[in-house]
This record gives sequence, structure tokens and C-alpha cells, in this order.
Amino acid sequence: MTAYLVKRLLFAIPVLIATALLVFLALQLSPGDPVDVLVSPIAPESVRQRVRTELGLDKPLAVQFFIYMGNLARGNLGTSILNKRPVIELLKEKLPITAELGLAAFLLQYIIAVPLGAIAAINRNSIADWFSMILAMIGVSMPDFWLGLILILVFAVTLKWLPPTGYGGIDKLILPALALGLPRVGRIARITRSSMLEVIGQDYVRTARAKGLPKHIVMFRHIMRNSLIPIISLMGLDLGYIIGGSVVIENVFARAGIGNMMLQSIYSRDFPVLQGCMFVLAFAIILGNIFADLLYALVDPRIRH
Amino acid sequence: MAETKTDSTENGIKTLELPERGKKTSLWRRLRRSPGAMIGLVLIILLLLTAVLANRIAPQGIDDQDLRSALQPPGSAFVLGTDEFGRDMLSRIIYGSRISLEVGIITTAVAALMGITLGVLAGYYGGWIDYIVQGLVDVSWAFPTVLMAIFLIAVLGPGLVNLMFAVGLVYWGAFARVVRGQVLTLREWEFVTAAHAIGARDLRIILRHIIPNLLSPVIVMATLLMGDAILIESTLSFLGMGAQPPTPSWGSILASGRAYLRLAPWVTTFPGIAIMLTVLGFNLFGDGLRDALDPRLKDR
Repeated sequence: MTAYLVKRLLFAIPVLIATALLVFLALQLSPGDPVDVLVSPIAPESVRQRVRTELGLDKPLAVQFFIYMGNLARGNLGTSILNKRPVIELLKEKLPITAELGLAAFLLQYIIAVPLGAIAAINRNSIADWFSMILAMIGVSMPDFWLGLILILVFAVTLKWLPPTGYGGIDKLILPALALGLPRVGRIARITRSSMLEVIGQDYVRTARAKGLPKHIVMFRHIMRNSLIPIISLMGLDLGYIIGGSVVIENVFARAGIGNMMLQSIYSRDFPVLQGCMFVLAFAIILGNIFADLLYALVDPRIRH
Repeated sequence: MAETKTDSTENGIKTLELPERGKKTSLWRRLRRSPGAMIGLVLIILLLLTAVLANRIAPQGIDDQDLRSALQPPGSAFVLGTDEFGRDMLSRIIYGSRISLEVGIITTAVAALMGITLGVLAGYYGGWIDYIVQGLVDVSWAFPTVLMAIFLIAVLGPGLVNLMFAVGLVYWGAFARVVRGQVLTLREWEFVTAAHAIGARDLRIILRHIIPNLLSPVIVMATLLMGDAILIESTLSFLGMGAQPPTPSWGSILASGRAYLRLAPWVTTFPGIAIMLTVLGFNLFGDGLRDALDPRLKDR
């Protein structure tokens, strides 16, 4: 188990380096000069040159990259061009806001989806089965930001039950978590359903029933436990979806998290901040996948080496 | 979204061993039996008709402003109301269908062209080409699609053309993965060996024997991707990274409606419904097509 964990963690390092390199290179290809953010376009060339030297932009690309990577290894993600604050500090400030939303959406999804999928699997062609199917179809077809706006319209503007935007307190978390989580509920329920159906058809379930085990024991010990395995690996994938979606949802609900900061950094061409955001999000996705794999190995002894 | 879809088409849509004519009729018969596929087809046809006939059916032009009738609620004069410039919402949504369709088609074409080319090369030749292509696919899948598209727009700059290219770049891996898997099995078939034996060159084998046999999984992927591409375009346009005003992209209409959510909720409501119905159409039809082409995959 420990060896497995070490292997997975070591494998994450080249992926992270590749990510850093790609993000760095892609931004170099980008048209537009970060100096323009700070200096008026009519400023004399000497001023522009000085700013460029200050930011280290006059050095060769390879040197810039090694400086960047060296700093990265020491946890230094650079300084925001716009407000001169260290990127790492900005990220630390915003991370809880995004993590809170992501976690809430994640929990909400599975708390609704897994029981729904289970009910649909046990009662095939029932109302729950059809409902989960329709929900899955609508969920993948609906723009999440639009769902967010409609939730604001209904629950904040019309009914005035919840605040429309902002951060802090559970009341401000409910709507964005719904907007981020709901679209995937149907899809997760469908996967739970087909996974359970597969397990229900297995010989060991028939054996368990045949030897007269009570229904609930067969359900939880034999069916549930085995059908949750594919759902755990789905969770890893799902994390990526939540992180991508949070960028948009934070914008809709004006939550000052990492996603919103990333969008602002794009609008203002504040590349160190953008690099930092991409890097942190990639890191979160990689860690999440490792965690899902570990959980997988924990639940299913067959894949433990 | 696309990731999970890919997985289910990936594990082998085998070409049906039926004569060409019989294949078509049985496909249509199976499609017709699926209510989802038929609803999807109707929605797609409606979208096509709206886009083609936009200038005939729209009561007003794309950008006909009349400030005196700004933010009018839906009623007899304006069926879906007006926006903050007094433009007829119905007309803007009708013209918006052209943008969605254009983005869907071009993005899918970019992704399919890149994905099929690299997927065929990787599957057919194997070796280092295969390693590089697979590595690139893994990297492009490492990030969630929306995030990747946003990042590419940050690099390329905003605008519809860049957006189509960026989203195409995000999705090529989906095609490459499916195509590579198919080619790996096709390569071992007797008709390919036979073509080699009679001295056909690689290019001819790829074009005459491999590509035609890839069509069914590629068509399914392309249909599903149309929906995803339209969804992502609306998201990026909503964030101000795609279509710029006054272009009536559904996403950018939504973005401008945000400020008037309290005063004029119809500006945000109707474009969202249009996006949802369009994407739903492609998803339903794509799923139906997949089940019809390979009934074994049904219920996954």
C-alpha cells in the first residue's frame, strides 16, 4: 500500500513539471505584452525597457523558465503584475472560498445521486428510473451558468429566500453549490444504476440470496460495496469537472475565489496570477485523482499490489 | 462531459457485417424505434431550419435598436420581449442559432480533422508516433474542458474564430483516442493484410480501407461533440471571451441580460432555453445513433 502511494506520488511529479512547462510556453506564445498592463502605451521605450528588466522579461526564454521553475520548487509563484502582491499569498487567500464551494457541490451531488441511482437500479422502469434518465439528459445539456442565473432569479430575486451573490455563511453557499452540483446529479445516478445492475446480476449475489441472507445485508454488504467501486474512480474525474465549473459559477455568483481571480487575471493580462491559478488547479486535480486511486485500492483489495 | 462519453464509445463499435443497403435501412429502423433519437432529430432539424431561414422568419433585424421600447416584457408586440436596447429578443435568438451552428460545425471539424489524422497515424504506425500522440492526448485530458478552453482563449485572445480553434484543440483528443483504438483492431483484419499482399501503399490502405470503416464511431462522436461545443461556446461568450457584442450569440445575450435580471428576467431566460434545447437535440440524437449502431452498448 505504501509502495503504491509512493509510486503514485512520484508519477505526479513529471506531470506537474509538464503542466508548468506547457502553461509557461503557451503564455509566451500569447500576443500582447504584459508591460502594457503597467505602462501607458505612449510611454518612451526607455521606460518600457526598465519595467521589462524589473520583471525579468528581458532574459532569454529558457532562463526565464528555469527561474520560474526554481521559484516554483521553493513555493514562490511570482508576483502579481497588477497589484504587486505575491501570487502564493493571493492563492492562499482565495483557496478556502473555492474549496468550500467545490466541497459543497461535490457532497451535494453524491448525496442526491447515489441513492437516486440505487433506487433506479432496484426498481427498473419505475418513476425514479425515468426521472434519473431525464435528469441526466437535461443536466448534460443545460449551461451551468444559466442554471445559476435562474436559481438567483427564483430564490433570490423573486422569493427572496437566499442572497443572490457573495461569500461567507451557509446561506450564500447554497445556490452556487446547487448550480455547480445539480447538472451532474443525473449522470452520476445513471452510472450508479448501471454499476449496481451489473453487480446484482453476479453469481455471488445470487448465492448470498440463495443461502437466505436478509435482504438488507445482501444490499449493503454485497451489492452496495461492490457497485461503489466505479463510482470512486468517477469521483476523480468529477473533481476536474467541479474545478472547471467553479470558474464559471464563481463568476455568476460574484464569489472572490480562485476561479474568479483567474478570469480577472485573463482580462487584465496578469500572467503570473494566471500561471499560479492554472498550476494550483492542476495540482488539485492531480492530488484528487491520486486520492481517488488510493480510496479505490482501499475499497477493492483486488487491485492492491 | 465528453470524457465519459468517449469511454463508452471507445470499447469497440465494430462495423456491422451487413451489405451496404441492408445496413442503412436497419440503422434507420432502429433509430426510429428510439423516442430519444427522434426527439433529438426533430430538435436538430428545427435548429437547421431556424438557422437557414433566419432572415425570413425573424420579425426584426439582428441589431434593430429602439430605445423607446427597451426592456419590454414578452407580449403581443414582442413575443419574447426586448433587451436593454429595445432589440427584439425573438429575432436575436433566431439569428443566434446561426452562430451556434457555425461554432458547432467548425469546432467539430477542427477536432475531427486533427483527431482522425493523429489517431490513424498513431494506430497504424504505432511506435514513437503512438507514444507522442497518446502523451498529447493525456495532457489535453489532464485539464477539465472548460478550464482548458478558457486558458487557450487567454493565450490566443478573445473572439469567435479563436474560440472555435481553442475548443477544437480541447476536443481533438476525444477523436484521436477512439480512432486509434479502432485502427488497432482494423489493422489486424484480413482485408488490410490482403491489401498489403497485393502491394497497396500505406496511404491507399488508410484512405480506402481504414477511414471508411471508422465512419460510424466518428459520426457518433461528432454528433455528441456538436452539443458540447455549442455549450462551451455559450459559456465562453457569457464570460466575454467568445462572441463580442452586438453579435447575437446566445451566451453573450445571456451575459448582457445579467445586469437586468431583476428588471427583465426574459433576457436571461430565453437564450438559456434555446441553448438547452439545441444541446439536448445533439445529445439525444448522438446517444440514439450510438445505440443504433451498436445495440450492445445500450444501457451503459
